[in-house]
Amino acid sequence: MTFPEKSALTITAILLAVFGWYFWLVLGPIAGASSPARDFAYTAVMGVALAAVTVLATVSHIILAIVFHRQANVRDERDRLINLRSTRIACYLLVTGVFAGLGLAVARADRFWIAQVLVASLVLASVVESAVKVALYRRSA
Amino acid sequence: MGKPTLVTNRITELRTAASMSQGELGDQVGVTRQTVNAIERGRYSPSLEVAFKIARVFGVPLEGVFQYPD
Repeated sequence: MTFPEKSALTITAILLAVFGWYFWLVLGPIAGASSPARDFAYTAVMGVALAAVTVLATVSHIILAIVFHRQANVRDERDRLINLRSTRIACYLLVTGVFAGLGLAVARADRFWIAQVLVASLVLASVVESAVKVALYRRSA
Repeated sequence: MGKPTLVTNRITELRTAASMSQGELGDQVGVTRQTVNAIERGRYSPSLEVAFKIARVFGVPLEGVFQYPD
């Protein structure tokens, strides 16, 4: 398994865990709260989730780089091609999510839901990017 | 990569004859062991530059390593 593949698997696990927790809270108890409290709560949870992803991704990659130090800085043309292909597919999802958010804004939807659609599209695009990367590595392994 | 390629190669045969591991070949041409493995199994077509480097390692012309059917 190459280093970018290990990295993609790690990022997928972190995103699913942290944003699984985020959406469980935000679409559950927080969505049912009244407007000012709800907006404060989801913003706070979003801040915690983003900080958690940043810290976990950084720490996990430092550990990966120490454990697999010989692979850590090695990238070749196949790695770059797989990265380009997975990023391109993720971009389609991200753009779709942004247009969905714009559509909600034009329809004057509650900004809480606009924010959730945008966060969901960001997370989904990142998870799909990592999943496609792993699949491409497996298919051409 | 994902698409099957019509390009075939003799890398495994040449590498075995030279008593060279996939990792050693990868180090000499600047790709990972996994990429050498993918090339050998016909799962990935290397760039022209890497193909020339592989041929040069074994001291044979490009068509001595890679073949494309008529």
